[in-house]
Formats: sequence, structure tokens, C-alpha cells
Amino acid sequence: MNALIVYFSFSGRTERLSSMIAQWLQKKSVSVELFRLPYNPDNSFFKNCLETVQKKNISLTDLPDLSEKKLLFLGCPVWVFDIPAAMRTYLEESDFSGKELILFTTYGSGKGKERAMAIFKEMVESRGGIVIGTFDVRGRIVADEKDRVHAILNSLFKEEV
Amino acid sequence: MKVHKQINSDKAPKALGPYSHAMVVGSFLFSSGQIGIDPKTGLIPEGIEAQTLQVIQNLSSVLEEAGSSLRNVVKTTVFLLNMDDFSAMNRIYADFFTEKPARSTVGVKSLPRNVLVEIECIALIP
Repeated sequence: MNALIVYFSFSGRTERLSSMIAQWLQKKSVSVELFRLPYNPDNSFFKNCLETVQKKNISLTDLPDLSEKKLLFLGCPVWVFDIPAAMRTYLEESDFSGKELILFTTYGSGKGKERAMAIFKEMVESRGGIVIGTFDVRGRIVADEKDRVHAILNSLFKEEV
Repeated sequence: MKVHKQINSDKAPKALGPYSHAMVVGSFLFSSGQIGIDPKTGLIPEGIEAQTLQVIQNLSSVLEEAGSSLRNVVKTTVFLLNMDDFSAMNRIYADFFTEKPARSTVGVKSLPRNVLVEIECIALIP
């Protein structure tokens, strides 16, 4: 099976979680590709949040081809009760028709994570995606959550992937 | 003997009148009200969410200038032009004022530069 993990990471925590997922998939002999959505390192966290609440379109180029991917993971941090502008833009520009997706978020305070995931899921489904699982992890402790993440993935894939 | 210290930050919008961004007395900082002016451009973003975010960024800059931070805020006062904006303001506010400082929120008739929200705070300087 071919899998793709598309993620947005600012602090590096979502990237760490994405790598954790990729390693789990590789152990299951799944071919996996990772793609990090671009971000402007000169932008402060506040500036990024401002782009998020203003729902700004972010310029995305060289996006990965989804046609051969059976399984997609999409991940991003929760910002101001929402998903970051880059992920929102990616969802708006994508067609997930017939694809199975798992959505994951990292969060700080945890405030608004349910709202953000609801937005995430609704946008993916509006683009034809079939969401087969969602989960979130506190960003600060991603590195310590390997067992929990693996347990979540094991529960989502009771059968061989 | 001077018992207070003026705080002004280059990273917050310049004061619109004869006041400092904040005054420090002992271990406490008392801020002026901040509105959502982007200090780099002088522009005010549209919408209550974006303005609230800009206000909090400006307050954060003032607090940092004094060696404090949003986490050390013990009291805020929020002035809203329209109380219908309360939920949207609160969503942004809650994401940054995670220590849940004491707060008063009042609806007002008008605000400088026709902004939607102004926030002032009292903070501890650790």
C-alpha cells in the first residue's frame, strides 16, 4: 500500500508526530511519503495566527500527486481554535474523492481542539474524502507519546494495512 | 524618589496621546489599553478575531519590554464596541490568556480609530 502524510508544522512538533506515524507505517511494510506544507520562517507565531483567523490563502507549489495514494494522513497544529492557513489552503485546493484519510492535530492549551478538528473533518469531507479516523496529541509531549500514538494507529488498523 | 518606570515598546504601536504603553510600579505592570494597530504598517486588520489577535500581540510586546509575558497577566479589562462580538473575541482571548486572569468586559459607545476591541492589563513582573 502507498500512504502519504501531508502536514503543516511550525514548531516542529507536528513534524515529529508525522515522523512517528511514518515509522509505524514503515514497520507495517507500507510505502510512505511525507510532505511538509510550506511556512514562512520569518513570520512570527502571531503573524501565522493572524493569517489563520483571516483565512488567508497561502501559495502552495509542487504539491504531491494523490492519484496513486490509497491512504492519506493529514496533520497540523491547532491555532486559535482552527487549522492553520496553509492546511486550510491545501484542503481547498485538493480533491480527496474516494480517498481514505486519517486526520491528526497537535495542540498547546487544548482549547478549541474539538472545534479545529470539526473544521478539519468537514473540509476534508466536503472535498470528497472519507475520514476513517482522527486523533490529537499534546504538542509539548509528542516525543513521549509514541506508545499512545502506536496504540491509536493499531486500533485504527485492526486488519493488516 | 521615583517609584514608577515608564515602559514603551518599539514593537507596539506608538501611543496615540500623552501616555506610556505601561507603567511599572514595584513588581506590577499597568498597561494602557491596546487597540489592534499593526505597529509595522499602522493598519488595523478587519474583523473582531484579527483585531483581538493584534491587540494581544501588542500587549505581549509591551509585557516583554518589561520582562513579563501574557502568562503573568493577573487582570484584564476588555472594551468591546459591540457585545455581539464577545464569543469571537473570547475564542482568541482564551487561546492566549491560558492562566485565566481576572477580567472585566464592557460594551462601549465608541473606541479610538473606530476599532472593535481594546484591552488593557495588569501583570506581575517575575
